[in-house]
Amino acid sequence: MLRRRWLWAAAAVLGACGREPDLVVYCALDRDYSEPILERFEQHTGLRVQAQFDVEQSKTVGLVNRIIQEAARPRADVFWNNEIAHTIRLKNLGLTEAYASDMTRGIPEQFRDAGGHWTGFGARARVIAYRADRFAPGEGPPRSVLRMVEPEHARRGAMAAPLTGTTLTHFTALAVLRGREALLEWLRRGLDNGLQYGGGNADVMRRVNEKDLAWCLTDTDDAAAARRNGHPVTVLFPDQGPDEMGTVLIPNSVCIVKGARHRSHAERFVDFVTSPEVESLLAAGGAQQIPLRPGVAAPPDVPVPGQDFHVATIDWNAVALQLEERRRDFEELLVR
Amino acid sequence: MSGPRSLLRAAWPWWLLVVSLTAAASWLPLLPTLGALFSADGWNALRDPRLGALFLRTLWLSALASGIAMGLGVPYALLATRTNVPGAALFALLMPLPLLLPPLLIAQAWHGLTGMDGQWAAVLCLGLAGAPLPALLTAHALARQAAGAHEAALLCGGPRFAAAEMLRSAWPAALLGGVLAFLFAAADFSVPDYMSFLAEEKFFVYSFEIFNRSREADFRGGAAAAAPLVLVIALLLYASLHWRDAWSGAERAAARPAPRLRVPAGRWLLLTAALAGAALLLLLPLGRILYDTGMAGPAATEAWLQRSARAFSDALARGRGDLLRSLQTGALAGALVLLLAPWWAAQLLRLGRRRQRLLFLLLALPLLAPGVGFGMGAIVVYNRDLFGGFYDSALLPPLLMAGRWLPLAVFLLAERLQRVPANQEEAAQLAGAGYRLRLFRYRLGVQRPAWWLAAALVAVFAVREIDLAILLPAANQSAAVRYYMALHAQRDNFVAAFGLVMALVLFLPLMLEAAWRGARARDER
Amino acid sequence: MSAAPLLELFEVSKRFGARAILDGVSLRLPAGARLTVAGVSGCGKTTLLRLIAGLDAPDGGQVLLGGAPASRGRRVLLPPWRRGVQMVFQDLALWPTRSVLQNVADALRAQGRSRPESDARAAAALARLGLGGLQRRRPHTLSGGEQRRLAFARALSLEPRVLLLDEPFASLDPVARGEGLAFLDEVLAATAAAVILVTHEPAEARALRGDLAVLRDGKLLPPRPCSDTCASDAAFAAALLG
Repeated sequence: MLRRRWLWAAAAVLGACGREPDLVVYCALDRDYSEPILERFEQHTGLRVQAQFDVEQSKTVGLVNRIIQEAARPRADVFWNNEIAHTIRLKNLGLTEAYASDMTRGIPEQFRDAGGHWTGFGARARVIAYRADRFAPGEGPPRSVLRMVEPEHARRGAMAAPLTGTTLTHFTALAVLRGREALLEWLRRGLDNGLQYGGGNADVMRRVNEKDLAWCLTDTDDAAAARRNGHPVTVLFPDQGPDEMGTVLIPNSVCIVKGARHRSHAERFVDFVTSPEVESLLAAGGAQQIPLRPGVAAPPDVPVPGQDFHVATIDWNAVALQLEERRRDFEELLVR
Repeated sequence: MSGPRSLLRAAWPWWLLVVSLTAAASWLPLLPTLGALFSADGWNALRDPRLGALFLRTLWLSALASGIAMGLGVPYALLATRTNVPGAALFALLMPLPLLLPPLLIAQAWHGLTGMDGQWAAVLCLGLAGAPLPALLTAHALARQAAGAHEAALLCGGPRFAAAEMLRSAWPAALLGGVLAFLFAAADFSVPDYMSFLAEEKFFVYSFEIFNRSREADFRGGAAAAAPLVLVIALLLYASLHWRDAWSGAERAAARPAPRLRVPAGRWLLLTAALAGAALLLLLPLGRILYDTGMAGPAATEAWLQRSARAFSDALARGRGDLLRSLQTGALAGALVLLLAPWWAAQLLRLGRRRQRLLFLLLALPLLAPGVGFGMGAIVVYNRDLFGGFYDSALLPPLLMAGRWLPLAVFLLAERLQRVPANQEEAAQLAGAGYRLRLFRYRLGVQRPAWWLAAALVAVFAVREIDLAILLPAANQSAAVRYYMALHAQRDNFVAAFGLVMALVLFLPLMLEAAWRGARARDER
Repeated sequence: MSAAPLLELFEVSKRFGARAILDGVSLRLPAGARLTVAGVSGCGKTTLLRLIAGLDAPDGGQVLLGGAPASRGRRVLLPPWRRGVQMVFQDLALWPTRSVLQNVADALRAQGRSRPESDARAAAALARLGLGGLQRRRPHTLSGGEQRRLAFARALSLEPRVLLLDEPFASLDPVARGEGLAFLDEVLAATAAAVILVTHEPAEARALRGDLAVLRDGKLLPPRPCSDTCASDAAFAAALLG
C-alpha cells in the first residue's frame, strides 16, 4: 500500500520534469495578449517555446533585472518588452545582440535601432479617456497633457503615478523634452491642484468607468478594455495642435539577449513577432495595439498614426539613460 | 540479514534524508537573509531613517491587523464551538475557509464592496484574512477545555463566570493565533501592494522595500533586508509559544467535551452575531466576487448571467493550464510534507518544552520571512551552475512551498500525535519494529487522517501562495500569479471568475475532509 | 411542625437514549446529613449528582432545595449557581490557567465578594487544608493529593448547603487513598453542609459515616445506616449487589 503511494509520488515527480525548450522568451506584455502570439509561433515553426511573464508590480523591471543578473549565464534567448526604454537600457548595458532582420523594414526609424539591437512593433498611445456624460456643455477634458494640472482639470481627473510601466516611460520622455525641474514642478502642481495619482493605467481607467472621475490619462489598450466592458468612454489624442508635441506612442520592442543559447530560433522569433501579420494580430486582439507600419490590416476602431493623430518625436536613447533616475525622483515626490 | 534492508530499518539514513530535504527546502533559501544578521551591513540598513520608519509602520500595521483578526476570530470561535447558536456546525465548518483564500482575493472583494483603499484598507483586509488563525486555535483550545472545569465554574459563579473561565482557558491559544496573524500580515506583500496601488496616497511597507531592493541592487540585498523582520517575528513567536506552554499547563484532550453555553433568550442574537462574523469573513467577499463575474458598464449589451457564464468559461479555458500546474506544485509539496512532517512532529514530542519551542522556531523560519524575501533567497541560492536545470524545473517551486508551509503541518501533526499513548509505540518497539515502521504505522496510527490533512493544507497553501510565486521563474505560470496579474489589469469579469474557480479548488480538500469526517462519525454512531 | 428537608427528590427519572439511567428516584436529605450513594459502574451515580447540582435537567420528577422547586420535569427552575450546591468532580475540574490561590479566590469573587476579601478567604481556606505555601503554583505542578485538597478547598470556601463528592479518591493508590480518607475526616469536621458521596469503595463510605443508599437498575433503594451495611467489605458488596 505504502509502496504504491511512493510509486505515485515518483510518477508525479517525473511528470514534473518537461523536456528542454527550443526557445526561451521573457515577455513583459500581458500574458493574455502575448500567449496567443507565442502559440501561433509554435504552430508556425514547430518549436517549443518556454515563456516567462512579468508581474504587474515590477512591470518590465523584474524581467530586465533578471536578464541583468543572469548575464553570466543567460537563460533568456529573446526579450519581448511591452515598452521600449528598458530594452534600450539592456542594449546600453551590452546585454543585447544585433540582428538585422529583413522583416523590420517598413517600421519607422524612430522605433528601431540603427544597429539592429532592438525593434519596435505594435504600440500603445498615451491618451486621455473621458466620460462625456460627466461634463456640462462647453466643458471637456484637457486637450494637452501639459494642461492636466490646471485647477479646472486636475480636480476631476487622474493619471497613474509614474513609477512603473508606460507611465514611467512617458514621463521620463516628458522630462527629456522639458527638463527634469520643469517636470517635477509640473507634478507638484498636479498634487497641489488635486490631480490624483492612481496605481496604474487600469486603475485610473476603472475610476473613470465608475464615474468617480471625469477623465484620466491612460493607454489605448485600457480604454479599449473599458469600452469592451460596456463603459461609455471616449478617447482623445492629446497635444494635437499645430505647435504641440503630439501624442506619445510607446511600442512593444524585441531584442535578442546576449549569449542566447538558441540564437537561430531567437532570430526566427524576431522575424515573426515584428512581422505585419503579428502587428495585425495585436491590433485585432483585446489590447488593440496600434500597428507602426502603414497599411497593416487592423479593425476600423484602431487609430492610424500620422493619419488619425500626430505622433510625438522622442529620443528614446535619452529616455533609457534617464529612466532609473527619474523613477527615484518620482518616488520621492509621490510615495510616503 | 544485512545490506540495504538493514539500512532501511535503521533510523539514521532516514533522518539524513529528512534533514537534507528540510535544509534544501527551508533553510538554504534563508541563508542570504539570516547571513545579514551577522553582518554590519544588515544592521546599518536599519539606521536609514526611511527604512526604520517603514519597519515600524509594518510592525504597527501588522499589530492592528492582528488585533482585528483576534477581535473577530475569538468571538466567532466562541460562538461556533461553545454556544447553542443555531447552525453551529455550519459556522464551525466555515471557520477555516477564509484562510484558504489568497488574501489578495479578499482585498479585491472588499475594495469592490466598499471602494476602500490605502493603508487602513490593507490593515482591515489582512485582519479579515488572518482572523481564521486565532479563531481556529481558540476553537481548538475551547474544545479541549475539560467539561468538569466548565461545570465547576458554572456552579461557582454562573454563566458569565463560566464564560470568563472558558475564555481564560483559550486565551494563550488565541494569543498564539494573534501572533500568527501578525506574522502573516507583516510578511504579506500582495495586499498592501494592491491597496497602495489603488490609493491616491501611496504608502510603503517593509516587504515593498525587500522587493524594491531587487530593482536597484540585486536579490541578495532584498533577501538581507528581510532579516530584521524575521528576527522580530521569531522573538514574538517564541514568546507566545512560551506563554502558551506556561499557561496551558498539562493540557490534554478532555475525555468528555465541555458543554455549550446555553443562552436561551439570546439564540437569535447569537445567530445574528455568527452570521455577521461569517458574512464579514467569507460570505460577503465571495458574494461580491460572484457579482463581479457578470458586472458591466451601462453600455453593455449582454445580461449579467451571460457575462458571468462567459467569464467562467474564459477562466477555465485560459486558466486551466495554470491551475493544473498549481495543483501539480501543490500535490508535490504535499507529498514532500507527507514524508517530512511526521519525523519532525515526532521529534518535537520527544523534547522538553524549551527545546521543543526552539526546534519549532527553526522549522518555522521560512514562514517568518516575507514570501518575497524567501523567494529572493531561493533565487540567490539556487540560480547557479551547480544546480543545472533544477532552478528552471517544475521541481523547485514545490520544494520551496513545502519548506515554507512545513511548520504548519508539523504544528498540526505534533498536536495530534500528542494524543497517541506512547506505549503503543513502545509495544511495537518491544516487538522489534524499526523506527520508521513505528513512526508511520504505530505512532501515526489513528492519526492518519491528520497526516493527510496536514499535507492537503500544505498543498492548498502552495496553490494560494502569490508572493513567492511572482518571484520564482519556475512558479510564474501558476494560478496565483495569473490571478495577481489579471487583478492589476482591467479584466474584472475574468479576474472574479478565476478567483472563484481558485477558491473552489482551494476549498475542495477541506470540504472533502469534513464530509469524510461527517460520514465516519455517522458510521460510528 | 418539623422543618422541610434540605434536599428532596420526587420520582426523578433520566434516560439516555433508550436506556433509563434513573427511574423514579426519590430521596429526602436533612441539613447536615451524610449520605453515601453506592452502585456498580455506570449505574447513574454521577448523573444523580448532576441532577441535584442542576448541571443536567431530569426527564421527569421534581428536585426541591430548602422546600423550593429547583427542577420540575425537564425544566431547571433554579440554575446551578443559585442552589448553594458545590461539587468535587471525579477529575477535580481545576482551572489550569489559574494559580492555586486564584482557583479559590476566583470562585469567591464570582459570588460577589471584593478582591481583597476573596483573596483573604481563599488564603485561609488553602492554609486550613495544608496548601498555604503553594498559592502561586499552577494546578498541574501539584501532586495528586495536593490537587484533591485544592478541589475541596474551592468547594468548601463557598460554604455550600450541599456538598457533592463524585468519587474524589478514585484512581488513587492504597497509600494515597488512606491519606485521602483521613483528609475527608478533616473536611467533614470543617463543614456543616449536607454531604452526598458517590463511591463503590466501602472504606470511603465508612469514612463518611451517615447512611448508605444503593442505586441499582435505576432505582435508589432506601438508605440504611452505614454502621450496618458498611461494617465489612463483604456486607458492602452484598448490599451493592443485592
